[in-house]
Amino acid sequence: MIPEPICPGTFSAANAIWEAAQLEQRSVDRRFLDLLPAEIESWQGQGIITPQQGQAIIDTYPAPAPPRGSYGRLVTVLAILGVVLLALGVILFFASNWGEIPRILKLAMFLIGVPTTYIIGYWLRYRRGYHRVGMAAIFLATLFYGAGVHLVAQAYNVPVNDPQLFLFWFLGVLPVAYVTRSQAILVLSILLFLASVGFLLPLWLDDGDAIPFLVFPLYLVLGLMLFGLGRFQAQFDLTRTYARAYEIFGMLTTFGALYLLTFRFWFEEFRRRDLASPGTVAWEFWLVLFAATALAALSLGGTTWQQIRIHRPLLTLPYELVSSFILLIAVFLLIYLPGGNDLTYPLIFNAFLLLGIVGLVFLGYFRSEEVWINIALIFFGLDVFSRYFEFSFDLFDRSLVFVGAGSILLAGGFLLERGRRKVLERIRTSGGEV
Amino acid sequence: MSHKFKVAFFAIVAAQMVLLLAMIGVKEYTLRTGTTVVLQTVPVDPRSMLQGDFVILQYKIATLPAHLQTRKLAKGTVVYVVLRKGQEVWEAEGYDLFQPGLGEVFIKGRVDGSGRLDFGLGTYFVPEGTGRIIERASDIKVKATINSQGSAVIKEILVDGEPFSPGSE
Repeated sequence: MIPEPICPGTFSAANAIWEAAQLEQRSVDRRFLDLLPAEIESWQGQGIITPQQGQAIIDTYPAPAPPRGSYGRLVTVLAILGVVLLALGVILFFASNWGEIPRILKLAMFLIGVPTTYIIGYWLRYRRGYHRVGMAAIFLATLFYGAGVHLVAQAYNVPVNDPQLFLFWFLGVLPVAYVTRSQAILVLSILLFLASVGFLLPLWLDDGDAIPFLVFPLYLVLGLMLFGLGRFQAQFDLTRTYARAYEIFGMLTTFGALYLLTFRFWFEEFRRRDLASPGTVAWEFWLVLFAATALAALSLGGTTWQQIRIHRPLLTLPYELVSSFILLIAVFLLIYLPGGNDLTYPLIFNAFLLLGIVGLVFLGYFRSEEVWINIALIFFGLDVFSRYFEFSFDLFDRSLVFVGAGSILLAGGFLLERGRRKVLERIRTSGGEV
Repeated sequence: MSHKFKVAFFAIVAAQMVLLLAMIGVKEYTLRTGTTVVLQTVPVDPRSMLQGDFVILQYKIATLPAHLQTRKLAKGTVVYVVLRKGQEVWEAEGYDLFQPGLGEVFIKGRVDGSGRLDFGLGTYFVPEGTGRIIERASDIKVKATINSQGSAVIKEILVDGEPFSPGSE
């Protein structure tokens, strides 16, 4: 209930606040509530209102509540940090290959320890209702499982960086993410998937010079595939909870690869050969590239089809589809078409990156999601900074270059933050949830 | 939680254990049933983040003979090395692109990026800080066990003729 005005018709400021509170009590801006006590103190100091009236105004509003879910998030962050530290300790302990422990005992410790940690996590999470700590224990078990895979490899002297190790870890962890619906384990799975591909690349590619022409495009496509899989899973109630991690890490991977392709030096040294000719690159590479491309196209196409089928507005989907399609074409042109040089390739990919950044801001704005704007601004900042160093290092004195870099960082940080706030404010005022 | 969920959860945990046991089983089977050979090698000493200190071993038999070098075999090509017992170590008797017949002792290798053969025996993990002992040694040999398909597992490492045991140093 909102109390009656303190002194009707006497103090216009107090009355105005009272009226505003009456109209919008349930949707009071948190920042306004934070500022209110200082404002009231100032009004009291100026003699506009009495201390009693000031207190009455404060009592008019609900006490600012702590941010929603902040306590829960704190517990989650602490639990995950604890898990990571514990896992790191265990991994380093065994990584030191302590000679005092016989091989069979070390293996037995993991063969018992991994399922025990899963059972403890299960018991805490699903029997006792300790959601966060229980999930943290299950997350720890997935890390122990990965450590176990590497320990077995160590015990039998399997060659270091064997690509199968991360693949086994990924294959073991992904189903856990889907069954438990854990975001942390899903993110771990996605990172393990990307790492597994990375460990397989040395088997498929002979020549380090081929990196910009093969590895970055592959990751660009893998990112689009992850993004597409996220968009597709968002269409169904059963899988919606997994969508976000796929979308975010897909976009980060794609933009990361695109950003790396903007550097000129990759293209300066490289003497182009026909990378697409048979035998230059292992067939497995092409299989993964084409499968990822097909999956990216199918998942984004499937998402569009599903939206149309259930008569849901397409919103940004056509733009996502078109831009993904253009990027895929660019990737295949890079691999198959000769003729590019150290000027055209960086120009093309810088243009793509900038268009992509604009697209991400657009995506964030229309989907009312802050994360896309943040990703866009991170890559914008990185791109500006990288281009500055790329073009100024040979032209100016080193001291000037660093003074300029510092100025760009300070000014850029200020401008980016101001721009970010403006965009987020517009999203808020347009009714979006940020 | 539903019965279905419980079954799915513990089935995944069981599958993870099966995978770990399978990795162990394959290696143990080779160690227990294969032919043991001693191979001449040269070490270098780096470190892995997840697995600790190790030495990289380069084998004398990993160098392809001239007639295969000229053929410029593609990376990943499987080459079988037929082994013959010498005075102290087993030597390469022949290199073949096809699996040798029964009765022969052979090891399977794949051509790596540098044109040498990788037998999957290139890494030997050592207790932290003990890699230098191997690095300083004048003679390093590897005792490995090879199964009937030519896949090998390191059994132990011989430093100057003695089994490597850093605890006794």
